[in-house]
Amino acid sequence: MIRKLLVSTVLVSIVLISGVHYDAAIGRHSPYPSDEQLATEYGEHIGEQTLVFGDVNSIDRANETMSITVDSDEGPVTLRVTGETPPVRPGGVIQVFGTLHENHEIKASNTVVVERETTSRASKILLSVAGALLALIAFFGHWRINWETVSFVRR
Amino acid sequence: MADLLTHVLFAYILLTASGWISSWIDRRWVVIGMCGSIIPDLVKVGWLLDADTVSALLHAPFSWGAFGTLTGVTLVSGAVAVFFKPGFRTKAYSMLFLGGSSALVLDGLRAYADYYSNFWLYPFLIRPPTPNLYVSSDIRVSVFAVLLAVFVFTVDRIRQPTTETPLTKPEG
Repeated sequence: MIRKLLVSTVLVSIVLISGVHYDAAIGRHSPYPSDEQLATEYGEHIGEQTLVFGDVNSIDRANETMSITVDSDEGPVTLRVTGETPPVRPGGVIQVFGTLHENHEIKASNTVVVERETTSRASKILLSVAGALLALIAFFGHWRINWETVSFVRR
Repeated sequence: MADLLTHVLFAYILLTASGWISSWIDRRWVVIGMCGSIIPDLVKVGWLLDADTVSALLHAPFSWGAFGTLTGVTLVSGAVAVFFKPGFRTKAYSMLFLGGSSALVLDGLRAYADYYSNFWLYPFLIRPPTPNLYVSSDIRVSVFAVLLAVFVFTVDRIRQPTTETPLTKPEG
């Protein structure tokens, strides 16, 4: 029993440790400036392409502009998106791919609406809880825990 | 990522249909694959314990994202499979890994504004192209998964009403 717990703990620990490597590695291999770089050194990246995820603050469809806030470890970055105004409401979440311009402006070449409005997030959480319950109910319909050996055995 | 319900149903659909071709996969093992499809969603632990908090504890940048990758699925499948009897561990691992991988592939079809998905193949540091089929909050994906799962469930019950193939190894 101790051996099983030990092996399991070691494997999960390796994933946790890889979380440190993953965070650093994806930053190095991303072709775009990170959210932190946008927060601290925006001027150095003007003219570069970027992909950001942001919360929509406001939309001006007449002038085809949006205001979004990108969250970063160095604090929030507010950006003005021009060129596209997709069907999203304030409070929604959007991806913007485009080119960085002066005055914190992104000229969008493509956008994807991740969450149309704030309530989308709540429905995603509800569906996730339903999924977890479905898997666990299905599992324990066929298997049970033998507490003496700490193992899954057939019902 | 797609919501967890869609991940679980997608694994159910794939593995149940595979069971129609191969007697190696029956309902008892399909449910283990369904549980495997939860593994990439362990990134949602971050909803409860913020990555920044873990970073502060470790004194190093940290992301829960590794759970939603090939690395996470490979290792967490092993961490769960050890709790099965020795004769069933390989099969349990295979089912967990298949379920987890099906969720990763489904997420790899998700929309990104630059047409490249995330680093889900980590430790391979590449972003595979994505066909931009859906966004994670698109309820139509969940509805389609539910309808298809109901269809597969019905066909499966017609094919094999109650019985399951016997266990091939003695239970210890």
